[in-house]
Amino acid sequence: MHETDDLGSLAGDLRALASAPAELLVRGTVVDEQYAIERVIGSGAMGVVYLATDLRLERNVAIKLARERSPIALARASREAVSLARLSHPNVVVVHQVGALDGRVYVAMEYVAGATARAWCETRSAREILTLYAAVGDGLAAAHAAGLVHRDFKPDNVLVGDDGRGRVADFGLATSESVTPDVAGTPAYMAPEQLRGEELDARADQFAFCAALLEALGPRRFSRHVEIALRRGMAPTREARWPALPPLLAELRRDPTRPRKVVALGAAPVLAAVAVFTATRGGPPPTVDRCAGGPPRMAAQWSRAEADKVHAAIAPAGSPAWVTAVADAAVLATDGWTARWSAGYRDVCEAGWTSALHDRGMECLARDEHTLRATLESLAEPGGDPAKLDGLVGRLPRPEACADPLYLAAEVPPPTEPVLARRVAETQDELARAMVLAAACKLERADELLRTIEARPAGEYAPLVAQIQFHRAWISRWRDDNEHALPLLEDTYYKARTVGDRTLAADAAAEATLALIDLSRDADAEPWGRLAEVEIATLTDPQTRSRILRALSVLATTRGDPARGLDLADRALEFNRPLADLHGLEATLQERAQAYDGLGKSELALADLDEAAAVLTRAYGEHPEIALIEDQRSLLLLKLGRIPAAVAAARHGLAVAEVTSGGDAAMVNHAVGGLGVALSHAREYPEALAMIDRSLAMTSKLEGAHSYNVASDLNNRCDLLARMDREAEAADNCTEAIAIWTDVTGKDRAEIASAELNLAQARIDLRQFPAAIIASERALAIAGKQPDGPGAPLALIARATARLGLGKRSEGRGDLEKAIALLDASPASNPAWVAGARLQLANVELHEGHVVAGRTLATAARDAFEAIGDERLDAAQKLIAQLEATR
Amino acid sequence: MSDATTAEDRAELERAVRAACDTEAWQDAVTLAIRGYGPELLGYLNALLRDPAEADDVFATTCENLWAGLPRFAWQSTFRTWAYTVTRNACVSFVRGSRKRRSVPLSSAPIAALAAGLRTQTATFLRSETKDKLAEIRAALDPDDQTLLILRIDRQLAWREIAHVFEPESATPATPTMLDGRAAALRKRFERLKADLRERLGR
Repeated sequence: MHETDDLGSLAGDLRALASAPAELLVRGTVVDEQYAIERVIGSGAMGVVYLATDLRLERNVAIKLARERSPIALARASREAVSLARLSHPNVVVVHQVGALDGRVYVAMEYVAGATARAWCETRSAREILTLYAAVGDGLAAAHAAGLVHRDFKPDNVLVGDDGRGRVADFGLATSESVTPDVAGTPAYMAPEQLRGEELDARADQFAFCAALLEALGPRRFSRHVEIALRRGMAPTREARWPALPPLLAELRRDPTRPRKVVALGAAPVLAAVAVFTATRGGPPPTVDRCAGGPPRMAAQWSRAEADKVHAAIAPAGSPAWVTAVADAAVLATDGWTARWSAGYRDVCEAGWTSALHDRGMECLARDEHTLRATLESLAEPGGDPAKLDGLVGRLPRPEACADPLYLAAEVPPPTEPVLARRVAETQDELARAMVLAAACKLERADELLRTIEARPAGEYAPLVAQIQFHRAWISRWRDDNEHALPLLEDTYYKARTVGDRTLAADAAAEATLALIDLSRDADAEPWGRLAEVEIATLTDPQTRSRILRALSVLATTRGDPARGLDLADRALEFNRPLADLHGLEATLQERAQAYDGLGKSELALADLDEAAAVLTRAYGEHPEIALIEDQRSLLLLKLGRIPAAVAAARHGLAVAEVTSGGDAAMVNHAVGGLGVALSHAREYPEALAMIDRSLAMTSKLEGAHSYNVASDLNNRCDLLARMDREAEAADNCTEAIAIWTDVTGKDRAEIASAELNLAQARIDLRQFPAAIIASERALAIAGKQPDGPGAPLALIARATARLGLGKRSEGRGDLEKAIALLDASPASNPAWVAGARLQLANVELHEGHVVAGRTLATAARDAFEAIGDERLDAAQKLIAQLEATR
Repeated sequence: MSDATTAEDRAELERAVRAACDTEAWQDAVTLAIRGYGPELLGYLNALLRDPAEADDVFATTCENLWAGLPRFAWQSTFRTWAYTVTRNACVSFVRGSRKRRSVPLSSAPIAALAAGLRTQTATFLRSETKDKLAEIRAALDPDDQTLLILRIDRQLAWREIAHVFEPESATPATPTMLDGRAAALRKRFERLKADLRERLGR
């Protein structure tokens, strides 16, 4: 008899866990005396792809070997080989040979070192993606001309070599057009007729091609005519699609900014003269470029001398390495931005818009140019805080938006009266300057500037009033004066709606949401969050959308809905990734980490924090924000039980904070507190206590003895002292923390529940069971409102322990059973807690004479303790021995 | 390609390898053996290491060790069992070595597994919850436990053969009594593993 016979209900799962399918080929195998197998480079449902060396021709080839032995597949592959041999195109992977190996089909083909189109497109612009796909489309069209249908075209079947050339690969499903196929392919890219299993022609590939391209373009901005062309290619009936690929590809290649062969008659002789001139001189035709005005305008703002000045102001000689990196990054980012502005200038100039739209595009560019000027002035001023200056260039508006008619249409049109229009434009420039000053933390000067603006006559123009008010609120938010900002933001929202400024309305709603969160008024933030979400639906600017989606994600996660927070952060990231704004990306990653953490997916949270830190490290080496990220990483690592790593992260965080804080005591203090907590888990008690005391003293000094963070420190100290067997002091610290938190944040907060739990534990250790029951019930009352969190079961375990201490066995049993059920269902559970509860319950069973039940529980606890290396292993083993003896 | 997939194939292969060894044609013996058993050994390494490049590296080491150790192999077990012993030892020393060398990539392995789990979760129409749970469990399995599962359930080795595979490296050959004792211990471990998996799967 074999083990598999008596596996019972587990049989299927155990077989799946034990499955280790033999590989088809191993390294060194020589196929058909020609191809020496090197290694596996990919595998799919149909077969495995190997890298191999062609021994005759001394080149690398890819060998695709089918999994199944099938004479039909062999016959089909032979047909395919003949067809593909007829086809030689730079955008189709070359097939060298098709053969049979032990009844399986293999195809030896050109090895393309590079990436799939899916991976390649992730970091590319819309223009690059269009160019790639148009070329790949040529390859596909050539295959169609040879009578082949690919039938499984998708981004993973397009290989992009290191030379940047795209090639269609994997005609694995391809068949001669006349053959009716069975349904095969990848559903996401399949034409409706393919899903229905009908006979296919080249138009099914056209559908897949368009679906893949549309997916690759994703949230990027691209021309409307491209979208229309792709929608036609994806029409549900093939008759409505393009008759063949070539006209679709021509449409994709058409540049709408260049008129289609519309040469005015009067220009013809000039062109002819140019042609003659060219023919005799042999050089390029000297044409007049009306749209070359961008680069000189940028050169006037941003010369090498200006760049050197900015660099020297941010990072004077002798600055720390990270400050120099900030200066390098600012210069580099400005280089990039000015080039984008020049490109935007050309786009607007060549767009062939109506003159009104053209003028608005140019005004938009002029406003951006002004913001650049204000930003450079702020950067070039010596003595700024590098950490604050760092984000300034990233905050510059996207010049691409000025070339986007949809974006321009969402703006409020300027007044028609010319004098007022000029004043409004000037005032908007001044507002941009105030915003830059505020972002550079020069709040006094920003305030002063706003007051001057308000005093001007143009200040009465309604759309401008709303904008000025928003800026005032924004500056208050920078000052952390949310009480003042809130009514201004609410009013701005209604004003912006009245004048039809959708972008401003969305921004105001989002800032109001964030202000309310900062004021701990999460419930009031909800309706504002929903308004912001509605408003952004009509916006096209990715920068605005990502910023607001991030704010909404913060709200959802704070409100206890991390799943929604995750969804919103994911959407924000989609917009963030293609943007040049490094801090936006890093902030969204941190936010998504919070959402993952709330969902109990600590490893994913950790991965996001790692990426956020990596983004900063790549750009700067060291950066103050890294200290904050390390603090969060350390907490997550503690949750995962990876204590040494948590301590290392906290130590690194403190080191970075000390180097980069520039005297910001609060930042260093934050890191000190974090290290204290990590050390207390690592049982480095003396050093932990020293850190927590240092943090407590500094927090009291910075924020006053009756502040939120002092309560945090006291709660951490309580936890530590309990671990050090100094329970009486611990209880005092917890009691104080609870009092402060209740006062500062109000009742019913998760942090109060955690302090009550710590207090209950200390009371239990002091054998003050009735007091422990009271504390655990207070924790339960708060945590019970969050059914998925670990608070409620932990509170139940604490109450059970106290009740058992008083000899109330059946009540204790009830609590433990409920706690285990909750922990089993909770995503935020921890094996040590479950095992602890089982051990306690086993003890109850022993006393009640239920030996079998007790042993099952104790064994499960023992195994869990053994697996995680918990010190309670001995206790579990002793209990098992006792239970054995009883039997 | 002549991988040994049936019991008859295997018996035939064992005879051929032994005949080559008897004439001290070591190279022929190893070539035959690797051609026959290579695919399943590499499959085992792929399942255990979950990284084709690493599996390839360890497989290369395994082949060298088989080659070097063959003259001393005394045929106290089948060649297949001995090949699994050599493979497992190569794998254990690889994991030990790499853990010492680079703790970071190893600790990121569960992250990758989780990320894979998440991707499959999004394609809910393709995967059931249990399958995700299985992937999680597989990622968390101790390598020895997984070896036990693979050899016993998938490869259907006898307990004595498995005891051979788990023989400590460089130990003097075990007596039959010792082997039986070790087989009994492994059997117990297997039962515990099943109970543990049953609990984790909520059965």
